[in-house]
Amino acid sequence: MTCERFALGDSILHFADPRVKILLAGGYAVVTVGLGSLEGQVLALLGGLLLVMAARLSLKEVFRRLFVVNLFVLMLWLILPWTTPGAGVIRLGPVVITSEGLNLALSISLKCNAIILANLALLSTSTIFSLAHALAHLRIPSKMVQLFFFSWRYFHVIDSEFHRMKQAIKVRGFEPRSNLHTYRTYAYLIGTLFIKSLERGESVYKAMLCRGFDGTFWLLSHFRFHGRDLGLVGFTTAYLFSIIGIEWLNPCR
Amino acid sequence: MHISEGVLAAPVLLAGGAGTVLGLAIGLRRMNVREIPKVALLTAAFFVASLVHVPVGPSSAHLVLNGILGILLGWTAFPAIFIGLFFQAVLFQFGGLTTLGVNTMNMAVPAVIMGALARPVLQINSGLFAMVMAAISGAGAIVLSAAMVAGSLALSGDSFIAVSKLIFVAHIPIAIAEGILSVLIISFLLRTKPEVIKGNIPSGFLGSGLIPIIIIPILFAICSQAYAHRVNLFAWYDGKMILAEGYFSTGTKAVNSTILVLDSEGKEVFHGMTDKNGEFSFKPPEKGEYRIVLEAGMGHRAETLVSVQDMESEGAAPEAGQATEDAYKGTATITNAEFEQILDRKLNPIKEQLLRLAEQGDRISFRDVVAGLGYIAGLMGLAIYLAQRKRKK
Repeated sequence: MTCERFALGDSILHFADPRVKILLAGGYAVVTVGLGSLEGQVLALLGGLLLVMAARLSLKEVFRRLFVVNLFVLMLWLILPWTTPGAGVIRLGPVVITSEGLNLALSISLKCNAIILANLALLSTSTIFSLAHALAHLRIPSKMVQLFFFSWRYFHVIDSEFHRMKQAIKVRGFEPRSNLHTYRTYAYLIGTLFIKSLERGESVYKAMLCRGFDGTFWLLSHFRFHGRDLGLVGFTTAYLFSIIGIEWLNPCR
Repeated sequence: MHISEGVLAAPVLLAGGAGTVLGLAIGLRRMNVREIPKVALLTAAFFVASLVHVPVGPSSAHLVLNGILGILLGWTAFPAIFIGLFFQAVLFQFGGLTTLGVNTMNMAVPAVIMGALARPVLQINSGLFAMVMAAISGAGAIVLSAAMVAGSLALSGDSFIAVSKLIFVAHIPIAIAEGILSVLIISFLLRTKPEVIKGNIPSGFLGSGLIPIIIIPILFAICSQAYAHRVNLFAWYDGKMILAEGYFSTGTKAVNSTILVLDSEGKEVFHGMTDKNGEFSFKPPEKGEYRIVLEAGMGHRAETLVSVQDMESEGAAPEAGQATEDAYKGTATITNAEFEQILDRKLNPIKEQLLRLAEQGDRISFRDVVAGLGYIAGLMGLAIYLAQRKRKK
């Protein structure tokens, strides 16, 4: 699995403090969700693009991810324009396309993509491990962080285990169809996966006990707030505040 | 199943976030430190299993498996689902950070409810009853989740009603598939490693069965409220007939809509349709309060009360009609007093309607109530968290 593909890189954002990035991503999302004016939304999208550029991510890969997410947005475009009550713009037989519906669909697409771009640039440029560490430093309960950490640590292990089992049934001539045999095979596959992971969980716990585990999550990497982080924080917050300012100047929604 | 960023209204997002904080607090509190590796590995297993495509009829669907997650983990399903969704949001951009709270609620609340219903049964029974419970929790969790997704969309704006209905309908075949899979998985687990299911089920202060009994009616109330909305009904009594007019908030007339008239005891006294002007008239048989219900399809529904007080005798009615007619013609003279009486009769319903509108403006909307409940839940979660920290020290 190449989930953490974006985490490799050497841009400003890759070297930035993950704690800062988590807080900025949260702030960016909250501000963008609240935007009501078209200007604000377009600016938020541009800001997201700017962050992605700053992170020097492969644009091809970014747009591939955006495409998948926008399938949901596309569904909204297909439905909202003619189900939203409002002033009609175009009449297609019995269907009336309303300007309110079009505006709503547009605003959702802009906001959704803006937040995703910002998240890609800010969060996906860190590995899940450093994000977990950063969460622990941000006073997220230790149990939560440990759960987070272990889930990610063993996700790949279990994924390859599952992959192996799927190959095993494929070798034996299994072909998924819409019948009870398929469902039974999948159920046994998933049930086996649960049992395997539970047993592995037990042995992991025992192994940890042997190494003196007492429930404490020791923080090994400590982040330092660098001067370049200040630049990132300054730039992003200034940008967000100017969007909020423009929003205030346009009270009509 | 996941709602993307930028779609939901802020109160819904806040309520979802607050509810998720509460659920996480309870889930983490109930999880022993020694259970962490086990729960984490199960979380990973569910995350892997949820990436499987299973054929459903002509197409295929992702597994959700939140019913089984609830059976295996109980309240701990909350943190497990939260983590799964966080991975998806950060790694694949499915769902999102702002919608993390709502999405977690939508999947985890059904998991916890179904777990609470099925776990006690599975503890003592491994036969047919257990299989029925497995099917119910597998399918029920999906249906509930779909209803909650639809509800959170519908609460965010009237425009999303159609989308939310579509989403709900699309989940019905998935629910059936998950029901079948749940039965097969549970029966497999019961045969292969029964202690997974018949393990130690904690019965803490929040009693595993109590919460769902409270939550389910609230959910249904939310869903029914979300669907009943935004068509206006204007009804008045003009001395002879009850007249009613239905129109949508945009001003279009509610044409060919079903009209129901109920008397004060709730008995149906009339059942009809509005005409092509969205109007309707009905002659009340006697004095009293009448409840008029308009159903304009697509879940649009409005109702209003009309009181028939000063019912004119059969003799008086034509006279009044005569007077108006004469006034139009201008042939007969009417006294000022008579004119004022007629004017009053015509204007009274409008006055009443204005008063009612003013009253409605002051009333707290349902959305505010949901958000308020969410805040309360969030504050409770914070309190529980702080109390737990204090105890640890």
